[in-house]
Amino acid sequence: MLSMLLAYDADGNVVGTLDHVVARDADGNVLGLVDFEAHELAGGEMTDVWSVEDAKGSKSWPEWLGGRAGEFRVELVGPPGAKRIAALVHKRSGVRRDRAVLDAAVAARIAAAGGAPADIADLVGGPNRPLQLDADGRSLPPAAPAAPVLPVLPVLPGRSSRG
Amino acid sequence: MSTHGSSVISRHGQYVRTRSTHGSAGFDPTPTAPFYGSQADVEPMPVSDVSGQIDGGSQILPGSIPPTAFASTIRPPMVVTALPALPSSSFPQGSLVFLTTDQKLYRNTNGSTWSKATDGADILADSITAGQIAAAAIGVSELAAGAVTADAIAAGTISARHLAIGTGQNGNLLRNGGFEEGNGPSDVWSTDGSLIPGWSRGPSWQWNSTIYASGTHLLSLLSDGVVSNWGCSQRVPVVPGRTYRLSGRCWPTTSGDTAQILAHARAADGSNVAFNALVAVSTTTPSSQSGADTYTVPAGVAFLDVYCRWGGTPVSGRQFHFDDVALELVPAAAQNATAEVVIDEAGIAVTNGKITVNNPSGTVLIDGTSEIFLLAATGTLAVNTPTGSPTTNSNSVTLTLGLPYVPAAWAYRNDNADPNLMAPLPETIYNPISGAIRNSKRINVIKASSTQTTFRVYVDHDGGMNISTVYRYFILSRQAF
Repeated sequence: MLSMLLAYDADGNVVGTLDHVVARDADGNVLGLVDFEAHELAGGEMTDVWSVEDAKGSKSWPEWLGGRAGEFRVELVGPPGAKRIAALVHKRSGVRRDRAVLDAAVAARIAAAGGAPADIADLVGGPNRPLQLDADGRSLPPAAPAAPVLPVLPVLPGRSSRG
Repeated sequence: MSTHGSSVISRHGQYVRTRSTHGSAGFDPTPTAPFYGSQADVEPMPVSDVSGQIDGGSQILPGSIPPTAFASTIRPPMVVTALPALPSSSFPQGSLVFLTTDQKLYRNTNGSTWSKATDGADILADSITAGQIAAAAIGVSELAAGAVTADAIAAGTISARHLAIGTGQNGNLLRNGGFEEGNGPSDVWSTDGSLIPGWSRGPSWQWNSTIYASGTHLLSLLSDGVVSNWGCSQRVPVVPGRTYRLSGRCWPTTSGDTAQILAHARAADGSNVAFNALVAVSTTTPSSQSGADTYTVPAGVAFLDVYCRWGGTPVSGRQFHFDDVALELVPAAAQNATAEVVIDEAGIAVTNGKITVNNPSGTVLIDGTSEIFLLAATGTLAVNTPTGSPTTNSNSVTLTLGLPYVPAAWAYRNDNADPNLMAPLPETIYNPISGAIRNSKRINVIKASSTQTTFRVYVDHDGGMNISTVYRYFILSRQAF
């Protein structure tokens, strides 16, 4: 599944993110977005994609947090050479964002769709559409669009309301 | 042997007549000598005695009846090895002969001419089938103008490669615009409407082969001194919104007379929409003059009537000549006035890397010297400031995908907690230092830079920032155009 990359230092502090990379062929034609998780599961190293000064390593993470990712540190799991980020812990509040919980929520949303495309944007955000977090690092519900309170000219009779 | 009347029929079937002794002495039927031979007194028999009695199959000597023996209304066909000279009393009008040298049946149609032609009116209607027409015998000239309509053409059979669009003869919408086709003798003034195919006859015209601008013929008109602005015309269907170009050459033989090639715009019902919508040539010079004109067809116009004509009312007997008349469809959006863009079979040719697109609201210019940047990657970098001064703190990201482009970089300070802190880089941040009298502010400049492989955000400062600052970067690929 499409995901972002988190680069972390020796203490696990997130020092850099990569929301997406557009892959192109030798002629510059767009091939698509690079699937970081697939590369990771296939045993690939993220240094195949990028390198970050002051970073010890980088791994994929299934949600987009934008610059707020810098407020977290990573928890790794797995054997050497095959580690994955299991959770993000907010450095100030201690709030955890667990991969297993997120994966289960996404799986449930997909199952509920019954084969139809499932919208998981409220669960994971997206490239250039990071999740909104509160001060403690918890996800905020998507903001509902609200009509501004502005003077409105009435629609004249016989005219389309679409103007 | 019959003794009826005064005739005697011999045993050999030959009429023999004897003198009648009927009357006073009676008839002595007993001959004194045999009848057959010369001793009998034979006289011709009156026709009335043999009417309806002669058997043509056995009693008429073969070849003994000459053609002249037939009634005047009967002319049996004759077999000949050469056409008899006409006129001939032996072969009056209506005579038929079979000429063995070409195996054709000839008729004397008018008393002086043998003809083997068949009048089309003599052919039974709807009797000619496809098998009786030689392959490739029917050409375009045999088709009536406008006979082929869209619904008569099988769907999907005409592709773009069949369409001749462009300048020159191949794109001429007029039939016989060069007047190379003719249905009669050249160089003879005629009122025959079929003389020059494709064109309707106006005044006396001539399929002129003695003078021509190109090819072997041109059109010549002869003024009658009565009618003004008269000439030949041809109607061409046109499409609203498309541009057409009329061209040709013409001239009067007398200086001061006016020769014209022009077109009027007509509605679908033939009514006039615009006189002189196109005027390719209008000249009083008695030598070949060429010209062209273009016209974008407005709504409501279905035809252009192209005219080759004289202007005004010239004196009777004045001549006017016309050649190379062409009506062409100007390709849509192929070229502008300065021919900066050419669309042809090879595609789009861009002159000097420039494609100009005009629209009602203005001109959109896509210039090959401009740069187009596409977002290749984006993310954030945390720049943690160390204490102490002076020093330079930095963080950077390097994409290692070996992308074949030159990246540019852009970044701004992005703190989701306070959108007001978003600012493009470079950014100068002033930080107060407590307890200091002088240097009451620390100046920190947050910058970004990039090379072909590395994007970097860094801080030039003389102290430290008290927060870890996160910056969003954008790595852009500069696309060649």
